Amino acid sequence: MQASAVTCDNTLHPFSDHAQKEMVFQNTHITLFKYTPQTVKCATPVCISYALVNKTYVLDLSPKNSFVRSLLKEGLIVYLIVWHDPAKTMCNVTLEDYVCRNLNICVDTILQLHDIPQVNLLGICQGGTFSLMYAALFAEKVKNLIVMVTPVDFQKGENLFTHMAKNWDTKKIAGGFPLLTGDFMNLGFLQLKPFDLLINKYVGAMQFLNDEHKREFFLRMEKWIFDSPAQAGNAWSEFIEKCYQKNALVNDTFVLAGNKVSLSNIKCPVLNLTAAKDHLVPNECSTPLKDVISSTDYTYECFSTGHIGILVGRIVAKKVAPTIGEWLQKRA
Amino acid sequence: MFSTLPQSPIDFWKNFPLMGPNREYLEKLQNIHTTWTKFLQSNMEYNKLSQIFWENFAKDFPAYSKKSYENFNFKDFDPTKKMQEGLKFFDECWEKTMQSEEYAQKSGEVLNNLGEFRKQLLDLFTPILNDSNIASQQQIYELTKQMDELRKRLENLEAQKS
Repeated sequence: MQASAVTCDNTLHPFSDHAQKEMVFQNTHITLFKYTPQTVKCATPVCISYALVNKTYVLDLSPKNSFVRSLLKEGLIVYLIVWHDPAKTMCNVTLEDYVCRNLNICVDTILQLHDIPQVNLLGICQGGTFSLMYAALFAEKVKNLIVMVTPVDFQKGENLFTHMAKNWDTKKIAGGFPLLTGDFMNLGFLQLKPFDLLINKYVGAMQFLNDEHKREFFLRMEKWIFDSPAQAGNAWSEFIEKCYQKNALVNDTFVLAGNKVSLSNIKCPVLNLTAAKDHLVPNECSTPLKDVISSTDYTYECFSTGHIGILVGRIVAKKVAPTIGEWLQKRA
Repeated sequence: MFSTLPQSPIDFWKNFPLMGPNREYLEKLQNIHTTWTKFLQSNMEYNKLSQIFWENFAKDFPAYSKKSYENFNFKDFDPTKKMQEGLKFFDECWEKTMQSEEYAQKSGEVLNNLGEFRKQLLDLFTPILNDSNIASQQQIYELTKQMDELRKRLENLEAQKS
């Protein structure tokens, strides 16, 4: 284990009641945490890769609303990759650094620690797109692939980001903003539903202020929503250009570190989980995955919730985590 | 120098020939002014989009108010719920505005021009900061990039060694 050079707070979590974890690896770009269940039901660990636009502690937001704890109850050994905020350490990172270097380092570390040839990879949102790229490039290291609310075909459905991104000159924007701050990105998200997100949400919150648990959850969510990390201009511009503007993953033209990222290389079992009320990644963007991979074992499940609800809502412990647990145990 | 007479003193200055020891600096200032003007113009165009929003609003409001009246619950009237419904209607009109081609084009122009302006601003301040023995943001980024490249090389060497 390398010494922590990035932060004094090795938990990288703002709340003290987070699940018990162990830091197994850290470099300038990432920290890898390990969560161990009380009873292990699946020997192959799950490595979670989350999006860059928000912080990962949403996966363990509170003891009652925790995706990670729900997976632990299913008997899964969980590894969580925490991407460091580029504002502090790495302004010039590219997609190659994220996928080919850091994700690969994490997978290699897990394989070495458990002395196994393959790992289960779980990608969420943009992290899911990274997982797909990784599984296409390093197919031999991935046993099972799970993607949640992950965009694959960026030009399907009424995707407002794609609609707006087609007129962005990413080189110009990244040139002026080598670091896109979290506040800048949040403005973009708030713009999608300004009245709902800036007024309705707080009016609605007035109704449950007397309920301690709901109030606590609401405040934690608020903290997380406006605690977004910055984006490295290079990586952002590359992601927007290749994914949103050229739709290169589906068009089979995505090149990373000189290697073609062909999703048809994915032959392992794939579980694709989506949210029916997702306004950030419409279902139409996720469902084409089936047609572009070569896997014969493909499972698709859609939950009646939103983009964030699939990670923090009541549905997590009741449906999402059990679905993942059962699916993995069948393929152990 | 001028094919036509300058329209304003700033126009005169922007076309001023580049001479003397400060010519590069003057060119940067002239460019930055042009980019700033472009950004302001695109911003003004963007603000005009509110017209599309109000057009959508005027078009959909009769249907919304009719439906709202039909579903009105006189017995258990909840003003908060009603207000939230109304605001959702505003969001629907806003979403339609965002889906228009004009919105995508004009909001894109604002962002592109803002990026261009900011880049020129960063370039302009670099020599000023350097004169005071301070590195600019871009130079610090460049340094972190080089350090990162070195780290990558070290990792690769260590991997080869093991």
